[in-house]
Amino acid sequence: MKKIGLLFLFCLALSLTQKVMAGGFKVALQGQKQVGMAGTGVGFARDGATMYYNPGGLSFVKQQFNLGVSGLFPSTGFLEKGTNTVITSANKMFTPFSFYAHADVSKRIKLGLAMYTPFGTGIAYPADWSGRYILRKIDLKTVFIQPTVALKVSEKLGIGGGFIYSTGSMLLRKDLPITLANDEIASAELQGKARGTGYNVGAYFKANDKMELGITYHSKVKMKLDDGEAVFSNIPIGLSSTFPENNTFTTELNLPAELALGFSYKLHKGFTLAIDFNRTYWNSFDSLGFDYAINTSAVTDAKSPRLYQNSNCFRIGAQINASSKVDLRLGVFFDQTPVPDGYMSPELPDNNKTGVTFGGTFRVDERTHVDVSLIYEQLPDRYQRNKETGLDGTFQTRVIAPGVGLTYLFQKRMTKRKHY
Amino acid sequence: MQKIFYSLVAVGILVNLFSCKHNLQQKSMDNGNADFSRFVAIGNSLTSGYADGALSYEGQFNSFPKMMADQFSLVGGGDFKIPYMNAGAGSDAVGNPRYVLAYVQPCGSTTTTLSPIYDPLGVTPINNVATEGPYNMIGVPGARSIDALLPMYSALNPFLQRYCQSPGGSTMLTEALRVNPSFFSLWLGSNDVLLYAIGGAVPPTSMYSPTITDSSSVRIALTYIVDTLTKNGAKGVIANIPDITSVPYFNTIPWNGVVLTEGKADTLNVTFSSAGLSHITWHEGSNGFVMVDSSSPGNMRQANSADLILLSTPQDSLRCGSWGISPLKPLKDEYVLSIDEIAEINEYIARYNTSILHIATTYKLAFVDMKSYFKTFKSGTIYNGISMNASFVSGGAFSLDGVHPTPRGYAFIANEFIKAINSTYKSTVPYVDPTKFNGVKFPY
Repeated sequence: MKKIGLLFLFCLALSLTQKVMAGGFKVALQGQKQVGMAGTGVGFARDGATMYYNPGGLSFVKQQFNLGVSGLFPSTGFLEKGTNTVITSANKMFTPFSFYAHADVSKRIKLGLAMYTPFGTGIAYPADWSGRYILRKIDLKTVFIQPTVALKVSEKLGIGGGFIYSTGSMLLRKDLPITLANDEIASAELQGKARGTGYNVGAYFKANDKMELGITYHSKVKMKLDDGEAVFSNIPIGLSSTFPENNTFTTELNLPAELALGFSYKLHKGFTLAIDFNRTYWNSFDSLGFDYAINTSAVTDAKSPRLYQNSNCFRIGAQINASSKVDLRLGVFFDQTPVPDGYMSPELPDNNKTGVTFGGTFRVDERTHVDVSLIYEQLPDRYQRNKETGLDGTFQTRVIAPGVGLTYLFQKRMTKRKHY
Repeated sequence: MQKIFYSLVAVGILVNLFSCKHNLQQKSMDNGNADFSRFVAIGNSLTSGYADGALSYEGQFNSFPKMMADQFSLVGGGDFKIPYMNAGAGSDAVGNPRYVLAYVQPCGSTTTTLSPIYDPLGVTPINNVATEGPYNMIGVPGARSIDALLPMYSALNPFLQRYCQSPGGSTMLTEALRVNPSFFSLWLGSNDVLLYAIGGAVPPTSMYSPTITDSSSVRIALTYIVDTLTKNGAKGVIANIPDITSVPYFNTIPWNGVVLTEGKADTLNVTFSSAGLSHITWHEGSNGFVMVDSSSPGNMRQANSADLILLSTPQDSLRCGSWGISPLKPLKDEYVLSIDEIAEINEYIARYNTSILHIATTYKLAFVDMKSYFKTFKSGTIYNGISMNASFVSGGAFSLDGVHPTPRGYAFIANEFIKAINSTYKSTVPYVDPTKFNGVKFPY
């Protein structure tokens, strides 16, 4: 009966949501089990992905190895104000992935290695869309590598932390409003690789058999991009001094810090509820600018304002132990956009969003589990007039992200009630 | 249980994801209480699509009435027939094709720069297409408001003669009435003052010299046109006259374009004082060109910041022919608008515009305030990441003749018309996408 009620709520949530990822260009796909529960995991340590969600919680997770990959299929539509043509961005699939492995060093200390892709975005607009002189294509990827150590302070308290080494790549392409006599149009492409460092710390508290809590702080990661390539194409010879060939640039992108609080409660045997709250300090992303090696009247180091605002996210997830072989999960999240009115640009047509998630674990044998997850988000239509570029219209974005993962336990489970 | 759960979820997702592609379409496209089935555009060169100093097929294809007609076709608009020129570089009716940008080596310089030249394709002969009429496009380069009612004008103006029913008998208005218009655009009156201004506001030397049309004649002509069309049942849109000093033709050559070294300035001071022109002095840096002014000693003075030097001034003569820096070669009146001439021109534009607004109100027409709109070009504007201003060539809004817009500039004008129409006639005609049209084209 309870399950039917839950199912009803779930279908209701699905029909109410218009559109669903995490605010800004954050990609909240760090663990298949957590994703299935709306991305909760700060106060519910279940597997190796806890190294991301709360390194303190790792103290309560058995030695194991986890691998996960999601296919992220975003789709964006745009209707310019006063026109009747809807353009749709090219469906570009991303594959955020995660890898976690950890082992006991002593009774109290665990060491682990985590690798995940917490930030990224990618959109390719049609070649002749009306915003082509603002953006044709963006592709932003990051990979975080995080060696982690966790210390079990007591049977109830665990703390942990990790150092983050981050690598990333960026590609931006737009057209320039210069038409050649043969009707070809000039374009600019910026491309480069970036790196940065940061840390991730957390504390985890098992209050009793039913209730667990956690707190995590993900530091800001300043990605530095040096020696990027700036390539200008179809430039008339007469303007070649304005758009020099073989130009390079440097830039910095501040990936925001995040504070996360989590709580889980076992309501009933085989039914656990988890709630997370995330505050992401997006105000670190106040502008986007490039420092070119060669400056001209058209190639300047001027910064383009973004003025992102700190944003909150609420996540509620549930796990049902359906049978000895199967767990089912679901979740709903409400995520505030960091993109303020007047500063939304085609690189990230963001909005407040509601997402629904589903997930499951199928235990193939005592040690091997297959995890699956699915996120669906639809962002409410957002009408914006960008203060800098004048782009005036309505964006609509949908994202669907199915994922699959593999868990392998290094030792057999002692009891079925323990976390795995 | 599980099966029901999964199937519900699957159905929900599939419905959301596939049944509605991005359902962002405008709620409705509607003609409101206007009927666009027989649209006629009446006007001068700006209506015809004239650009780069000539009327060409390409210009006509990128004219603002053609863009409007394309949008009207989405809300019940009919065929819009244009008296096309043959493909090519077009004609200015006095033997020249359009301008194109090319790399040229200016006199006295060792480097090449981008500069407008006549299109090497050569002039396109003016074809006669009268037998295929009637046409919806009655944009006649050179036409003043008063010309629209003169039968003689259809014999004199080759751009009208080529497609009117009976040269010397037809008028622009009778040509327009042939399509029994249900909707019209009327943008006339610029040439009643612009031709005079472009010619440097010189006193008339013959009956063909451009003059300023008396403002009551403009009012009477425009009122007659609108009255005739509306009596015939048409609704329409009327636009006023832009301030001519908004366009690059009057703003490209700086008044103080004489840049001197100290030595050169000293030499010129000696030359001018020995010629009895000691009121003209030179100094290191930028100096005003010397220009003809009958009220000054020796009939000349230096230009000041209130004077506008016209784009028609031969640039090579400025650069290498000592124009404007020699007591023998002051800039002629035809190349300069002085503060008094500008005031006179603006006074007339203001009077015409008062009449146009009055006509719009009286006949309940949609009204486009082009005078204000052209000012946005002058101050500079950004559209979808494209910055545009009234600078010659680099500004992107005006073509190489410095007066007529580029195709992109015309697209913005089309949208101003559509905006006015939508607000007056409660229609929802979708806008033109200006990014689909080019600005000034550059040679590779």
